[in-house]
Amino acid sequence: MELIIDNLSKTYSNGVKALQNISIEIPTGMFGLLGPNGAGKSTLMRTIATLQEADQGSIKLGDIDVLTQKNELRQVLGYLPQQFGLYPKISAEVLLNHFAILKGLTNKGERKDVVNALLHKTNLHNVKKQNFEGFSGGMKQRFGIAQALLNNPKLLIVDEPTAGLDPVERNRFYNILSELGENTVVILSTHIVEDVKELCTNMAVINQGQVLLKGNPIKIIEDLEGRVYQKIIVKSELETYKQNYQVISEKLFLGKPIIHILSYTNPGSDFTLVKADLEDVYFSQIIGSNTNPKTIL
Amino acid sequence: MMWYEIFKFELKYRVKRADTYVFFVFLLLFSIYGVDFVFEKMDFSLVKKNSPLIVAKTMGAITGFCMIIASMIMGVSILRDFEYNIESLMYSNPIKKRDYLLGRFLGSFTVLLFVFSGVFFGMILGEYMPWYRPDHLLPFNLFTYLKPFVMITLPILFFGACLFFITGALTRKLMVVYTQGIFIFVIFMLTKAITNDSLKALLDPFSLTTLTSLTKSWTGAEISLQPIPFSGVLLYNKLFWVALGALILGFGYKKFEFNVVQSKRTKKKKSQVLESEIDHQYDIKIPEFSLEHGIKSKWSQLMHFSWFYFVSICKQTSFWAIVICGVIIIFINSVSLGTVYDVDSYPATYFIVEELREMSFYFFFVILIFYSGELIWKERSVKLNLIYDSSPMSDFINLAGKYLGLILIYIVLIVSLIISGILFQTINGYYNYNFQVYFYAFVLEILPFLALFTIIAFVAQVVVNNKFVGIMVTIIIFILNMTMVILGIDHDLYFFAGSSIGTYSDMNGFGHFMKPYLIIKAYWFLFGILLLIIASAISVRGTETNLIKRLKASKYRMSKSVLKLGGIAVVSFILLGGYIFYNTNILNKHWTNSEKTAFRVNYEKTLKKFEYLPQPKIVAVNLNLELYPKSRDYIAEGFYILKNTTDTAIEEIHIQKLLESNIVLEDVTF
Repeated sequence: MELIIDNLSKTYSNGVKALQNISIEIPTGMFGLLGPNGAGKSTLMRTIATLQEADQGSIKLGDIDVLTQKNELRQVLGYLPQQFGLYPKISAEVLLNHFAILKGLTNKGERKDVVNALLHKTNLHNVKKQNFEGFSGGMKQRFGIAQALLNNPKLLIVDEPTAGLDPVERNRFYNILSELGENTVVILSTHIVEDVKELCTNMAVINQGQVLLKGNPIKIIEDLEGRVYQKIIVKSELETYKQNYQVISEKLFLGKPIIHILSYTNPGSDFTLVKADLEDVYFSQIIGSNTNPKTIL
Repeated sequence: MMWYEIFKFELKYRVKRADTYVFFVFLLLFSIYGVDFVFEKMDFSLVKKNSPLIVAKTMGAITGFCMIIASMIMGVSILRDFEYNIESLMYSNPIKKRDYLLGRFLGSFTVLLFVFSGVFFGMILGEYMPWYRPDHLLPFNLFTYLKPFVMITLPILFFGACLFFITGALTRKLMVVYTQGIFIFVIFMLTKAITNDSLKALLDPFSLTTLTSLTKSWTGAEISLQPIPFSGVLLYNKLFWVALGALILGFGYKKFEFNVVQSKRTKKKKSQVLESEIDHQYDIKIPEFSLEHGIKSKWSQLMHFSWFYFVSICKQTSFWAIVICGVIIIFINSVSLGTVYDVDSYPATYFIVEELREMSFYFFFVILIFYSGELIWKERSVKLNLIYDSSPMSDFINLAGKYLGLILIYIVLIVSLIISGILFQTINGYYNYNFQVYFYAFVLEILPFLALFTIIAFVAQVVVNNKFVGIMVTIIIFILNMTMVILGIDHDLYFFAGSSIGTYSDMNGFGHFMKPYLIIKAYWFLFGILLLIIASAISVRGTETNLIKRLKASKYRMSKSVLKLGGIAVVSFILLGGYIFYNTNILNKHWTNSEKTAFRVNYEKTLKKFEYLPQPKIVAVNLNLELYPKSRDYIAEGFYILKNTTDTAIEEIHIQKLLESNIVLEDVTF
């Protein structure tokens, strides 16, 4: 099964063009959707998750037309939104059971087993009788993934799932995701390059509602190979470098700025060639598309 | 002047909000109609409609009825910082608790005064309404309105403001804000139960009994002319409530903690759930299972949803507070129960039921309007809606589940009321419980009525898509529906929910009224199902809130089985409607209220000239009367003996031939 997004556009009533002619084909496996905050990731995710109407274009999962056959899609959909809350006075077990019924797991015996297994898998089994009001952010997030997996989805959408998780939580979360079978389309949206690097076999970068780049992360990195140079500079020189070179990122290393630049030829003057990584790809694309790069960095 | 900044911010915030104006307009419209609403059956030829006492009492009563609005304005003032999770930002600022509370209180109170000025302006406008007869009015006098507004409405508003502001700030629960209006009502009922007249007058929060007691010795002319003096018992009454308000404010000020986490009580409850060590069954394989989306599965979903939402309301303290208040009120009010024409009678079920029905209406209504809002907004209020909406549940099943959950809640209240009634009877040594009467009154009358209006509330919430405005719209629809009866638009075919069943008789129950009543209810329930289907198809699912866009998207949202249900409902609705029309308008003649009155006026006018015509008197009756209770017919045959009791000779005898359209006079001979 493949998710095909074709020429999708959405303009909000306040004039913001959230999506502009987006076309992406997403095969089974993990797909990373990378973009800065406000790039249109969540709008795209919500549209795929049947929660928002598009102005034009189409989305198809196999035979299902997502924009008109919403309930058909929902039957095979797992969705974890960027932000969500939970009823404070209900226990994890009760609410997961409730969601299982929502999703059509109406056979009581089967439902009990599935709910139990998912509670184990997300390490919530020991606290299943406790109410949500005492849950930490990580526990809530794991509950979120548990409910998204309830119907053994063919399409799983997770929107910025690791925001606010500590590194241990994040790893646990990725372990669950990576266990998902080969025949599920998993879309992971994030603004953290690491996430995509660790998990995804395919990816796209979007910014300001447009697709800037799509493909296999390794191939994309290869395209940039031999063109990324690095230099440790003095802060006051930053502006000069920005004017003379195509600076794609500036980071701090032990308090001093390190810049990465993009160049077809060796720029000399103490620049060293570095192995390109996904972050360079990302920043080079974002900077290319933003008129004012400083706001992003 | 930090408090002034907070005060200004509060005003600016409220000025931009729609509900401020909705409340104002609601009070304005309600007050235009206020005098007629409060003094429905009063004869205004002697005491004028705009006489000071009538105006003062009406203002007191309207303020009382609308205390709930005061609660919605004052209660959320502090609470909304917690609702919107900005309390951490707020409280970490260098603001003093005094400035924060004072600014917010004064700001909200100013808004409250603005909103309730709707009563003042509305009542003045009411004087100029075309349905007022000039001979029922005194010349316009501004002070007639200004004085009671300041004397009666302001003090109790201040008390309410203090109480609601503090409870909202301390409990931090929206549902408490909703229900506290009910507590004022209970207090009001409590004061009515006091037997000592002067104490009663002193304590009545809305000053209704106070005014009665103050003007007890006034003549009709005095009532029409004399302004209400702000002295004596009225002054003490107001001083008492204002002082109590101030006391509550002071208490709340001391109790309020200017930090994010409340200490003691809540801390224990909210103890963090500790992260356990890694689960050893981490690698568990998810067992095989099947997903079902058929009718059977939908049915078990419906059952589950109903129970789930029912339990969620049952877990709220505020609901049980309403139930307890409802039960208590019966006991308070039953002190004078069954005292008809100053004769004490047994606490027969009939009396108890009448009492329960009258008193419990307010409680049912509060549950209806607030919990329907609560249920429609349940997922969105905790931001669980996106997960919810992306699941394959049917829109209709979800809405119907919420609906049935609320119906179960009514049943809980009904059962509690019946139990309290039975308890009351038992305590008074009356054991002839007559459960059937309880059943009829609650299950056949109140429950269908509530069930139908709950649909209206659901539709209003879905269409308006704003919780507060939805509540107001529901109330307005409810009032409009009542007005329809007054205007004579009361045909069961278009008077929503149909008319009531009539009075229960210990002899034959509801007699032949039962069948048409049930048919008409069925007719309206079919309409209700249609409304629910439409509401479910246009309810907000996902992020689109614009009504027009929701309407456009609705065509993709109805599944085949829901369409089928809708089709069946439409056909049965039309068929049943036709059947009702055939019975009411073709087999029988339907009279609207105004037609009835016109007919009576007309017949009096035509026959007036015969009023004093000498006629013989019936001195003996000998009738052979046959009754057919099944078909509700009778045939009478026999003779009267007429005698001329006057001194003059009688020249003509008048007989009314057409008693009613369905009575035939076959033959008369002399």
